Amino acid sequence: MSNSPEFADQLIAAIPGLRAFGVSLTSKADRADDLVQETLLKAWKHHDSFEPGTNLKAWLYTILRNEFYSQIRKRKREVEDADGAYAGRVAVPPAQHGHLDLSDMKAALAQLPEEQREAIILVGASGFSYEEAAEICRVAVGTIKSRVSRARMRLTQVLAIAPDEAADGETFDDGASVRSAA
Amino acid sequence: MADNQDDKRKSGKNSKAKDKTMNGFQIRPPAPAIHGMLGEKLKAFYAEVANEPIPERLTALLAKLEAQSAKKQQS
Repeated sequence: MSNSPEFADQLIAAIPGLRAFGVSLTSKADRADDLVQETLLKAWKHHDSFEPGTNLKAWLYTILRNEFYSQIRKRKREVEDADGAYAGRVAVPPAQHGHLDLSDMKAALAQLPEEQREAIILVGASGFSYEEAAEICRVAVGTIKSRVSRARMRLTQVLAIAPDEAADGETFDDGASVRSAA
Repeated sequence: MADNQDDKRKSGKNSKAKDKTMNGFQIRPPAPAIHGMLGEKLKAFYAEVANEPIPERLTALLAKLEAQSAKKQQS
């Protein structure tokens, strides 16, 4: 089976989301583009192994994620150096309500363990369900849920967002007043 | 009557179970959103990158792959 122009169009349509996922994982645009490039090459080459009727987007994100972890294994030392240098430059932003620079989010995400970072991005930004995220990360749904919850708590802290505003169904002492205000 | 209700319940259960096993990636349960300010910030961050123009090297790569595949098909 040869790859159709339609498949190429589908891949092009997926690029923006894949780049955003890549930047979320690596916090570097050029590394993200390398990941996307590898993802496109692999998807093209292994198109036959894609089950028609299943979710192409999830399949592509899975490829990108695998590529990310295999690159990490390959250049572990290099990555550790880069992360160290990066972490050194990242200052935790002061508490500031109502305003948040997007680079703060990037820095905050970089402080999360990879497993929490990918979980909250897939569920909170890429638009996947917990079930889909679990398949992409090859872990149980409960594991994804707990990673998302830990990531949410950590990000809320790091970004100094009032916990009530970040709450997702959890109750806080003054939860009722916040909810009625929202 | 009681049997009937039981059947209904069973079939209800079954179809639900079926949905779950069939879902793979197909059937989407309600989005378990990260609500509130954090959710908005995450989405805004993500959208900012997603809205950037696609780097040329990526579109060029696909064009190349497509051309190769078309060539193969012809020969």
